[in-house]
Amino acid sequence: MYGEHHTAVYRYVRRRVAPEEAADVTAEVFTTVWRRFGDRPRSAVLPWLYGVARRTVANHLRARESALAAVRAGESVTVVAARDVGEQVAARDAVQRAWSGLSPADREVLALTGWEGLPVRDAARALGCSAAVFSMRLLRARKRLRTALDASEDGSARTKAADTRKVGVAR
Amino acid sequence: MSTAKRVREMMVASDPAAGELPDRAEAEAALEMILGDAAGRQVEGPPRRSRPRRLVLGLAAAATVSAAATALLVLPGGSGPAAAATPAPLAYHLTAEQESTDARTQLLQVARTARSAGETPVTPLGLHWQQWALNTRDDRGKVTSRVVPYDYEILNGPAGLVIRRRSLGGSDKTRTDPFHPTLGDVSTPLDGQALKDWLRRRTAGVDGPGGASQAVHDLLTARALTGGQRAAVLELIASLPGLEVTGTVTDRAGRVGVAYSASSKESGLPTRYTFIIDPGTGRVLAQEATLTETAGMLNVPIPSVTSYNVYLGNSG
Repeated sequence: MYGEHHTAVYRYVRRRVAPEEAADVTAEVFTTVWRRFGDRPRSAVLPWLYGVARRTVANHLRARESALAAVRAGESVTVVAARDVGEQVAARDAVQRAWSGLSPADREVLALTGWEGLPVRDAARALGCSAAVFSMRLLRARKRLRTALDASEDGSARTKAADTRKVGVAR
Repeated sequence: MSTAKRVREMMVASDPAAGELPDRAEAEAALEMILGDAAGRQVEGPPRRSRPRRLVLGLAAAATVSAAATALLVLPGGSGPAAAATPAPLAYHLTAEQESTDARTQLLQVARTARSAGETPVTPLGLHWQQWALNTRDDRGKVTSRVVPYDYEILNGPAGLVIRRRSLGGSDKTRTDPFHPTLGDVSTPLDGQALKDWLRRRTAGVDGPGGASQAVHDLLTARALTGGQRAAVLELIASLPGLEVTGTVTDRAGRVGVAYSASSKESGLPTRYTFIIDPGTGRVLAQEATLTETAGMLNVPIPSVTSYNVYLGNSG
């Protein structure tokens, strides 16, 4: 299972956390998977793995947010200005910018469909809901993404140049 | 068109993980720690916190960055922005005959040839390829980069698959990979559409040129393909939107093939993805990615090759 699905789970995580944290969070996912190995389904393992990954990423982001809040409270802020070209491109990319502004629930249904490429039935399994409910959420999320995209066309968000940049085009 | 399909079309070009692959050595180390942690728990009882693993992974990452940094070549012109080093583009010659037939028809003809050959890969199975990708660092105006390809070999040894990665700039690394799929796996689909659906499980953008380039690379560096499987790869490439025949070309290993290209902005910058095919066997000899319109924040001329892969066949 690890060899078969590690890349897919890594990419799932990479889409949702900072690049330098993706490998570590992926390891957390598989640690949980190992502990819950008896719970795995006989078929459709990948949607189940995405379900585990979703909860792991949510925990990770909550912990990160708490840490940032603590730093802010202490008025000791260190800005790490290291961004790769993917981040810079993503920041300029209208779709990702619009997606980033949606609610976590909308982002998840859109990402499972648009980036993980899951069919509705599997995406519904990953979220633990019925296919009908997922379809409804997807329809609404798509509308909100469309609205956000239309609104952003008038915007002029620009990426600030970082003092130190790492740029690269990697396979 | 279904909502799901509309969503995919809207989002696929913005995938922040497009082209991203995990570090296999790091993944291997993580699994060992997970399994070791579990074994330890069985003896000791309560689960241990994962803090030690985080520390080790962090140290490993730091070591990797440090090693990469020392491999970089500092370019002259420290006070101003120096252009990153990239390989020279290949020379393509488009003949009148190639121009008179559309790319898809040509590729499907080669696919039929490959399928009719139908041979199985030679044994012992092995894979051999070279790859390079632009990787530059811009530190307060000082640009560093390198054009040092890596040479990879996968051999089917008695203790499992052995992967040898050799930097053509010097370093050498050999390891076994317990997670690598079987080289001669017969489950690889024999039909272009089926192959695309199969590859989409890992590469959602396989319907576009950039995603297809990534998916084909992943496949060619993991499996030794039969004639039928090669035909499916060609059918997949033939289905790419905007595919054009670029012309006859000699690849970076000195082999003559015919190049087919399709362009997209999947990477964030307009990029031409080129597949070099041996028309006699249907083998994908090489792939190249070239920036065609703008380099964005990369300080390279236009056009610039930003990555290439040369598939050298069986290493056994």
